[in-house]
Amino acid sequence: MLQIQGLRKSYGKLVALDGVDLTVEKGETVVIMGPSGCGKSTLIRCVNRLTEPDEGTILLQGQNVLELGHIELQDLRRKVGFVFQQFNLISRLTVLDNVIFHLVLGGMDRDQAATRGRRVLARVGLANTEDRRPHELSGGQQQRVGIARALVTNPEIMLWDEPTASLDPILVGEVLEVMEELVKTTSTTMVIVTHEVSFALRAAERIVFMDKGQIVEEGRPQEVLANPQSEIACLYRKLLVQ
Amino acid sequence: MLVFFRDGFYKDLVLLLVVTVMIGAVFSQGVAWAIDTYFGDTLDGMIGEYGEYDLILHIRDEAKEAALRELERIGEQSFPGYRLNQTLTIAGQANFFIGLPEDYRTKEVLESITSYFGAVPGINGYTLMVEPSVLLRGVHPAVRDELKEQLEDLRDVRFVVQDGVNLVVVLTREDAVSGVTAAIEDILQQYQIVELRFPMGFEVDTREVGEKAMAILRSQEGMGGTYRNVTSAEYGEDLDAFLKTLVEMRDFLGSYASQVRIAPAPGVRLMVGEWILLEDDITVEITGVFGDLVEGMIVEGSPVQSTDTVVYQGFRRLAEGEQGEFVGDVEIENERYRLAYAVDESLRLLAELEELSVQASTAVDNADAVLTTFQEALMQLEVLQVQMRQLNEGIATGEAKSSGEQFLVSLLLNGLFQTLAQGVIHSGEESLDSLEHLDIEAMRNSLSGISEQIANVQEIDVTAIMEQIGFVRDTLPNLNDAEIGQSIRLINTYLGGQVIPGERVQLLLEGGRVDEKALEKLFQKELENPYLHTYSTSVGMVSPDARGEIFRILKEVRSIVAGILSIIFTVMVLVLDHATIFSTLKHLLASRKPLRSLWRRLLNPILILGGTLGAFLLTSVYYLSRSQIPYFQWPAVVVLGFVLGVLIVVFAERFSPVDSMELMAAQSLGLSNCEIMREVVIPPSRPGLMVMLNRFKKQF
Repeated sequence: MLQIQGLRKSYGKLVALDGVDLTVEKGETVVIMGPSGCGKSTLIRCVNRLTEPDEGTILLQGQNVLELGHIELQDLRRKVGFVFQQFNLISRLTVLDNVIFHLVLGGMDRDQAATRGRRVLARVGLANTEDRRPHELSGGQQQRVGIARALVTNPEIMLWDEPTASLDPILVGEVLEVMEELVKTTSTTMVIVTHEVSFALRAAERIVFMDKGQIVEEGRPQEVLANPQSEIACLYRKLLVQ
Repeated sequence: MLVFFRDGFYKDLVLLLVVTVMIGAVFSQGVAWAIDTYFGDTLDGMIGEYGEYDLILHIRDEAKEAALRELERIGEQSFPGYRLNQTLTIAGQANFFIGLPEDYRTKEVLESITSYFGAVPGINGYTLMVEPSVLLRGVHPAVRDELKEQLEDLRDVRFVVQDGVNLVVVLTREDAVSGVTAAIEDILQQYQIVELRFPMGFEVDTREVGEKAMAILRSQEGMGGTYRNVTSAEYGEDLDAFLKTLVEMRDFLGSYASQVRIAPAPGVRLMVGEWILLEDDITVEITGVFGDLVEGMIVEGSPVQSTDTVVYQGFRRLAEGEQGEFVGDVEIENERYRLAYAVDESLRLLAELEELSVQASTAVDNADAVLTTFQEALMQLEVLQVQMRQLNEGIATGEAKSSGEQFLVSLLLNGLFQTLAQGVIHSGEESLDSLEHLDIEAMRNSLSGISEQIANVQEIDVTAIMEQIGFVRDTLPNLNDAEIGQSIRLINTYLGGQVIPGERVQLLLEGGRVDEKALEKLFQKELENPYLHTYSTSVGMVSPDARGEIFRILKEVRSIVAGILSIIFTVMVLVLDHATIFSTLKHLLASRKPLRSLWRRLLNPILILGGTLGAFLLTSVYYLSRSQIPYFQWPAVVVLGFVLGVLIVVFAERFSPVDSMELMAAQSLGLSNCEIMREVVIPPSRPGLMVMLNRFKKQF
């Protein structure tokens, strides 16, 4: 599904990605973990070119993402669901419009899109909030709107950029619950950047640990966390034990 | 960056630009037109409709009430049916507009305005504004009469009124103005005043130089037409005389002020215009630097009153009036005090002289009396001398026969004279001889001459002289050095803006044109004066009438206002609309590799886009709104627009920040740039034309 090879990205003198190789199989759920600034978010933003990498190759369903033209890139992005850490909702639109506006702009009938949007909202537990504005919702609800917006197109791959990092601990649970439910009930390929070790243990098929722009360890969650090889994995294991 | 526009947003941008330019032009032109109309209407209200009033009387503001009553009286008495309107008071001067009834709008009345209104209280002059008319300004007196005749012969000319050095050509109908103006200009073309100006200080016989100049012109081939020497004292001589007087006054004040000489200390360099601080709060301005000699004048404070040279220490005056380094010793000679001192001494001398003449007269009289007495004594001495000589001879020879007493007397005398004769008589004889040779008459004549001269001196009216010298002393300007210095500076400032007149000769050329520059060289050579200059002027200048001039100025104001509004409008549009686009572009391009080199940064496509849009918008709006700002030509408009555009790009995020999270979300959802702009960026941006136009395009 997704093959990343030799990916490099620098911000001035700061090296964010230093030759990352990663392969994600179709339907696989991969959790990427690592300390802040290790390049996790940059990595998944490079996948749909929200961030332009300096070097490397990204193959998504056999397409070299970095060689796509303007129009092809837009087509690709429609197939990739992306959930942001800060929710990134359009503040002037209602919940339902936030979920469906890209469908309508993509050519879908508005009513049809609304029906689909309501269904997705119900799936994330926001059935009665469609006319509200984002600022009228809690952080967890806003993130669930963000998830619904990503889900509504039935994406082939979903990229999660620390979806619970901006939430207070009480609200984290409701988002993780939705995420777990989605992992279990859909066949969508998921690449999730998170610090939630227990969630990774429960939901991920593979954990990738990153440090200083490189992948330092990866493997099945139970194996990696049971017998961590890298310093970062050890730290996360300790966190899990606590 | 072109990708940004390629997927459809370029249409929105083009539409925005077209609408912006149209609205900008209409807005700028409309506001300017409104101002123009408002002021036009206001002016009409003040100065009336075309032809409604014929003259403006300028009255001192404090006298306007009395003037109004008098004007009403004159109007009712001399011009029944007149119109009177008091309008603006400008600079303490009230202006009364007077409209004459048609029967009184005659040459005779208009040339006799002073006789009608000259006695109005507070009158400060008048301005003719008869309409329709053409005003011919500054008509040379040499051609005034013949011009009047020619102008009165023109078609549609009712009559010509002389108003000072101007001629007002009153027309029969309004639409004849342009035709008559053209005809007058044709007439003026036949004349040319060639003026030879000599520099200040050249004394020339203008008649003689004029004749020579005409002879030179006649001897030149190709100098067609006829010449007349029209050098006139009437034409603009007042100013010349005034300026000459000012120069003389400045020189007088300069010589009357204390003379200041500065000996610069080693290494000190002084410049003309610098100020030097002395003790006693005296400030000196440097007026001349001649090698080691530096001259100045006192502009603040007063030096010690003394006939001797006073020496001060001079210090450079820094900014804010602080005292700086020592610059040298400053010698001050108070010429004014010396003059006053000399006048006082002269008065004392005259008083002494009167007394002296009286005493001298008495002395001469005494001398004359002494001389008379002396002459008589001398004659008696001569008689005595003869007698003594006879007696002496008698004694010596014994021839004398006398009685006993006589004999005794003779013996005594003989003894006496023997003694005398041996020691004195001989010398006495010599002295008497020399006394006899004294020219008493000549001495008397000399005394008489002295006496006459003393009488002459006494006849002089010393009292009158003393009174007049006292008067001169009292009338000397009572100015201190600081006042003199400031007066000189003031005069210099005024003269700096004036052409100092010298002698001049004016030639009137009829029926031909000459090149003044070619003539200048010719005259300089032939008249052997390389300093003279030649100017060519018209014998008069056609001016628009007062109303036309006001409306011309209004038109200029309208163009300037439109220009300023164009600039303001462009800035507003750039800030409200285009800053959003620039801000979005900067955000979208931020994920690319940063441009390292300076010239690559300067060639940043967003900067170029901003500059181009700014230049296009300002140039278009400026052109379509018919803007015209003085000294602001088209290249400057383009450059200003470009600079404004670049500045808006640089500060785009401050003027119109874009929510980067929403933008990123929209990108991640696969929206096109056009959709991102329409649905995400523009709707929440600053309200402007772009937001308004976008309402018709956005779906959410």
